[in-house]
Amino acid sequence: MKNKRRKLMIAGAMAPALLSLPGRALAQASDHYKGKLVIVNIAGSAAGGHTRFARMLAPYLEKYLGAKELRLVNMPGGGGLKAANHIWRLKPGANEVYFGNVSTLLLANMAGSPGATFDPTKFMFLGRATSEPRVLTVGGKSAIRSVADIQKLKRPFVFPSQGTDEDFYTMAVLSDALGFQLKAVTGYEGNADTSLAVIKGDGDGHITGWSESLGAIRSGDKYPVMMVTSQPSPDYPKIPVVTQIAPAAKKGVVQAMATILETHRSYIGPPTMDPAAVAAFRAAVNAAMKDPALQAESTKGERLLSPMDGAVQQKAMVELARSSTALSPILKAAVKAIQ
Amino acid sequence: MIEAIGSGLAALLTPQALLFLFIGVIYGLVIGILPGLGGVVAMALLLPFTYGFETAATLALLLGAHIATIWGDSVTSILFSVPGSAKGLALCFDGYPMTKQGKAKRALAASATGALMGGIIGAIFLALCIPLIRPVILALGPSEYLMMALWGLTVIATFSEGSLMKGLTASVLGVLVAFIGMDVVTATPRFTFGSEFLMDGISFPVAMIGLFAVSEMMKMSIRGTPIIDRSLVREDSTVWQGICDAVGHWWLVIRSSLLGLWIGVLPGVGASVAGLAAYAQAAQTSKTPERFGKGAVEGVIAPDATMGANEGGGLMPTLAFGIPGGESMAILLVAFIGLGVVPGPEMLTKNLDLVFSMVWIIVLANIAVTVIGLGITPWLARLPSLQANLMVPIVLSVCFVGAYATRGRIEDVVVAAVFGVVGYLMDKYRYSRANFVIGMVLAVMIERNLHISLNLYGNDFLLDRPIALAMLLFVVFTAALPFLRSWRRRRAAGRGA
Amino acid sequence: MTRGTQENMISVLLLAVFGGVLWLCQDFGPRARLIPQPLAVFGIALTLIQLVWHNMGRDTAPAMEMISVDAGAIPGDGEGRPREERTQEQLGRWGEAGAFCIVALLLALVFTTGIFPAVFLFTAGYLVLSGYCTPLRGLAYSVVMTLAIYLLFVGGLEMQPYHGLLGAWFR
Repeated sequence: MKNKRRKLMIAGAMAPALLSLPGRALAQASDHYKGKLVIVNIAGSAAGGHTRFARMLAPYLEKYLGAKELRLVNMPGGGGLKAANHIWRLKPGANEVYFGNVSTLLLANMAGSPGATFDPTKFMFLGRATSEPRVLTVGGKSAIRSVADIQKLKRPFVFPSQGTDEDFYTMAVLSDALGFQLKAVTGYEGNADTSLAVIKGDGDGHITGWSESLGAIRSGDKYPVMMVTSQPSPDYPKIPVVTQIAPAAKKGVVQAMATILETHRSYIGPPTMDPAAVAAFRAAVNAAMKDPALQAESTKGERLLSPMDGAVQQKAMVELARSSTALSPILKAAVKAIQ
Repeated sequence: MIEAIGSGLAALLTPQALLFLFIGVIYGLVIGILPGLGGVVAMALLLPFTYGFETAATLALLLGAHIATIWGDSVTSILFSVPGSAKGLALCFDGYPMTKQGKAKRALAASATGALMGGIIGAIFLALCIPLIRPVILALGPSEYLMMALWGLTVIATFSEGSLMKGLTASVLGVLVAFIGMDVVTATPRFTFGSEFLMDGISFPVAMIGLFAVSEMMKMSIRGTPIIDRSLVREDSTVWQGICDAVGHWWLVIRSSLLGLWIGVLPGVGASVAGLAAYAQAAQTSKTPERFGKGAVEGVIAPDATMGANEGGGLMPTLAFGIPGGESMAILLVAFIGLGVVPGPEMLTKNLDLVFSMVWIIVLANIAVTVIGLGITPWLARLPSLQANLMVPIVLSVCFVGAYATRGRIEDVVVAAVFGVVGYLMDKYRYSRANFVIGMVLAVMIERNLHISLNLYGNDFLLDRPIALAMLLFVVFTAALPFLRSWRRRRAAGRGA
Repeated sequence: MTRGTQENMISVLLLAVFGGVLWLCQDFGPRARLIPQPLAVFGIALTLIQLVWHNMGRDTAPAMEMISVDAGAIPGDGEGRPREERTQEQLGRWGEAGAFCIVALLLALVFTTGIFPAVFLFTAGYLVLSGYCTPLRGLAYSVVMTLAIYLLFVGGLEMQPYHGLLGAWFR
C-alpha cells in the first residue's frame, strides 16, 4: 500500500514532464541552421502566455529551421526588457532570438523607460506569431456610446489602468489624437481589476484585447466604442476603427500606434544578425505558420495565430522610426502626468 | 437550482473526472509542500495538458491541484515553522508550538479537518449566496479594499514577538522591502540602484523561503539538535484528537469559513490576508486569548478553515464577471476559454450546472486532501525528529532550488540567502518576522488602493464612501480592542486590590 | 561583545537603512514617495525610541494585551530556555560563523558549479563532514537526493537548470 501510494505520487509529479516530450524534427526550409543549437529567449515566466505560445510553435520551428535543437529559455523580467537587453547585447553569430511582446519594447523605449537600453526599431524582425486587436470599451451602463460622446464630455475621460503598460500609452496617444481630456488612474492590479472598475462605473473606459472583453461585451457589461487597429475587420464591422476617426493631421501618429500594437507576439533577433540567418529564420517562421498540424493545434488549444512576415514588419519599423519623433513626447508627457 | 446541483455532481462522477481529481490532489500536495511553490505554479504547469478532455475532468484536475497546495503549505508551517507562502504564516503561530510540545499529529489532523470543514461550509454558503455575489462585488471599490488592508495591518498590533517597538520596526521594514522595484502607479523605479533584477521587486515567496526556512536551518545547524528531541519530548497526541478538536470547535470553523468566503469574493485581497485575519479573529474572540501563540489548537483550525473556504469565494468574481480574483483564478479563466466556456453573468443562470460542478470539485477535493492528509499524518509527524545533520543539507538545498524555481532567476537564490541571514538576525534580536511579512504583504495593496481612492474620489474619499467609513470605524475598534481589554483588566485588578 | 552592544549595532544599522530610504526618496515624485517617505521617518523614530529605551535599561513591554507568537520561546525545543541564555556549548562547534559560512558556501557552489552539482556536493559534504554517515553512504544519499530534486523540479516542474560559471565555461 505504501509503495503504491509512493508510485502514484511520483507518477503525479512526473506526468507533465512525460507528456511534454516533443516530437523530433522531420523537415526544414533552409540549411543555415542545420545541425545548430538555436536558443529562443522567452520574455516571460514558464507559466505565462508567451511560453504557452512558444512551446506550441517550438517543434514546428525546429522542423523548418532544421536545427539540431531549438531550446526555449525563459527570461522573465522588466516586462520583457531583460530579454530584449540580452538580445541587444549579443555578439554577432549568436544563434539566439527573442520571443514575446514587442509592442511593450517599442513603447518603453519611446517613453524613455530607464530599463530600455536598446533601439527597438533596429532589431531584426523575424515574424509575428499572433496579434490581438485592441478595443476601447466603456461600461455597459455608461452614457458614452461613441468617440464623439467622449470628445463632448465636459470633464476628463477617467481611464483605470495598471500603470505604464501598452494600454496606458495607447490611451495617451488617443487622447492627443482625438482631442479629449484624459485622467489616467493608475495602480489597478491588471486588466481584470480595470474591467471591474469600468463595469462598476468607477472609470469611464479602458483598452483591452478583443477576446478579453468579448464576454463582457456579449453580456452587456461593457460596450465597444472603437477598435485600435490599422484596418477594419469583418469580425466587428459595426465598430469604428481609430485610423478612420482620427483627424488628417493626426493620422500618422495613430497609424504608428496601431503598427506598434500589431507587432505583439513576435520573434526578433539582434541588430548584428547575419542577413542569411535572418532570411532563413523568417522563411522557417512563415513555413511553420502554414503547417496544417500547427494550425489544427492552435485552433484546438484556442491559441489563435495571426502571422505576419518579418520583412513586412521590418518595413513598418522603418516607418515607425520616422514617426516615433512625434510619439515620443506624447508618451513622455503621459508618464510625467502620473508622477 | 436543485437540478443544477444534481447534474453538477453527475458530471463529476465519471472515471476520467475522478481520476483527474485524484491526480490533481496528489500533485498539488507535493507542490504545496515544496517551498516557494503554490497553487499558481501547480495550475500553470497542468494547463497545457488539459485540452481535449471532459470539462468537468479538466476543472477537477486544475482545482484539485490548487486546493491541495493549501494544505501542503500548512504542513511545513506546522512541522518546521517554514511557511511556503504567506497563506501558511498564521499556521506557524500555534501549529509549530504544538509540534514542539509533541502534538504534531493532533495539529496536522486538526488542520486537515479544519480545512475540510471550511471547504464544505464555504461551498454550501457559496451555493446559497450566488444571487447576491454581483451586487456585493459592485458595491465595493478601492476605498473598501484599502480598509480591508488597514484591518490586516492592525493584526500587527495583536501579535508580539518581543517588544511592540521592534514589532512595528519590523513591519515598517517589510513595507519598505515591498516597495523595491518599479512602482506601477507612477512608473518610478524605487530602490533598484539601476538593477534590472530589482526592477521586478523582491519575490514574496523567495523572501519567505529566506526569512523562515533558511534562517531555521541556520539555527538548526548551530544547535545541532532536531526540532524535537524525542528523548525530551514524546509525540503523545493522536490524529483522532485533532479531528475531534476541529469538530468540537464547529462555531469557530463556521465563523472562520464565512470570513474566508467573504475575503475570497473580494477580487485582489487574497488568501494571504485571509489566514492572518482568521487567526486574529480567533484570538480576539477567544475567552482565553493568552493560550494563543503557545500551542492553542484554535490557532490552527481557524486559518485552515478560512483558507479552505476562501477558494470557493475566489471563484465568484471569475464566474460572475469573467474577472479573476487572483493569479490562480486567471489561469482557470484561460482553461475556461480553452473549454469554450465564457464566464460572465450567464454562468450563474445558463451554466449553473457547471458552477455547481466546481462547487462539488471543491468539496470532493477537500475530502480527498483530508483523507490523504490524515493517512500520511503519522509519517509526517516523524519528520521534526530527524537529525539536524540530515535535515540541514536537504532542506537548505530544496530551499535554494525552490527559490530559483519560483521565477527561474538565479538572483533569487541570492535573495533567499540574504533574507536567510536577515531572518536569522531578526529572530536572534527579536524583531518579529511575522510582522515583517504582514507589512510586505499589505504594503502594495495599501499603496495602490490609497492612490486610486485619492485619484477617483479626492482627498475626502471616505465621506463619499459610507461602506469604507463604516469599515474604518470597525478597524479603529478592533485595533483598540487589545488596549481596551488590557485597561479593563488592570482596572478590575486595581479594584480587587 | 555584550548583547547590549549587539542590540545597539542593530539599531544603528536600522537607522542607516531608514536614513538611506529617506535620502533616496528625494529623487522620487510626490506620489511615489507618498508612503515610503513618512514611513522611513516613522522607522527612524521607532528605532531612536528603541535605542534610548534599551540604553536606559527600560523594558519596552506595551500596556496592551498581545498574543505572543514567539515560537522560539516555547519550551520543548530541546533547550527549554529563551535564546538569550544559549551558551557557547549550545551554539555548536562552529557557532554562528559556521551557519553563515554554510549558506555562503552553498551560494558559492551554486554560482560556480550550477544548481544541481551544488546540491550534490553540498549534501555529500555536509553529511560526511558532520559525521552523520560514512563517505560511501553520504555519496549514495546525495546521489538519491539530487536525483529526486532533479526529477521533481526539472522533470515534474519543467524548471530550466542553472549551469553556473563552470557550465558556461565548458560550453
